[in-house]
Amino acid sequence: MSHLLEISGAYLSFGKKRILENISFKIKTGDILGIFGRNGSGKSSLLKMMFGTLPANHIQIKFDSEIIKAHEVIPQRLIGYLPQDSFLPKGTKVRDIISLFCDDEEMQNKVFYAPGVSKFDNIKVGKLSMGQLRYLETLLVGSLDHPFIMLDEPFSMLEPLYKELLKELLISLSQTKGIIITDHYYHDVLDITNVNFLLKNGNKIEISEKIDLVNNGYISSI
Amino acid sequence: MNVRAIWSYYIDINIVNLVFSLFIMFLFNRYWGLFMFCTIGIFVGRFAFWHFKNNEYNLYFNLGFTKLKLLKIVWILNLIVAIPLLLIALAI
Repeated sequence: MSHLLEISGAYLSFGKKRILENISFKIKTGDILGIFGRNGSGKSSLLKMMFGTLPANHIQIKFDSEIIKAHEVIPQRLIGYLPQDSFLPKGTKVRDIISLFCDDEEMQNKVFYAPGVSKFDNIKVGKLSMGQLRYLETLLVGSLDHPFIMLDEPFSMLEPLYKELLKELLISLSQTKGIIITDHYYHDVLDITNVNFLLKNGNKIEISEKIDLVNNGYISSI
Repeated sequence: MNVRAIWSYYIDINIVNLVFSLFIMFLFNRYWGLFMFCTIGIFVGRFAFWHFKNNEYNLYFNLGFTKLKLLKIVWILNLIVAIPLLLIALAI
């Protein structure tokens, strides 16, 4: 089933500093949207505003053309969210986390039998390498039955092998979900996205090719 | 409803709550201890969770639990635990 998520009029300011000004975009099932921007450009804040965990000055969220209040996004399980920092309890074993996160057996099996997981399913979350942890967290968020997921820096600290696994996973997930990714690893992001934009000075700039990132001052060269 | 997740949060909140409530109980009496367990102790537990494990809220958010919903669940469960204990305490 195809779904459409529309964000419009997203404004955010901290005191007199304007972070986001009238950001609007749409994403549907099958899309992988990349959001780029320098540190402090408001990428993570935008995701948190959409998730309802950061109060916005204004944001309108529409799910399948129906207006949804930001605080209803979590209880209605519309969007899964991978935050920048780890959200898993460090003292718990990976296999227990999987059972805790995935309520039904089918979901659990999807994560347990995902490539690479068997290598670390019996150790505690706190003992995982940064790459393994990031991979596991993305797998868990991806396994949710939410129609959209937002991933804040999923490629961060990932070793090349896991990066490839993650890209394959996200491409496969995009058959049933819409995915939003923000990450500084623009090569990896651009490999899998079909829509991209850059946040600069609070505004949205469409990105259709790598060279647009250079032209808009996000990177100095390709 | 994800019972495992609720249990995990319930334990996390109530470890601190229990220590706080037992302290109050020894300081005053068992009735105050039970009262604290169902009221202020929950907020003490939430404060400790927020201070040490704030990012873990994202786990519960992803499972569809808001902070308010989690608070209500913990409060109701603590009432279910405390009311029989209170009746026993009154009977003794």
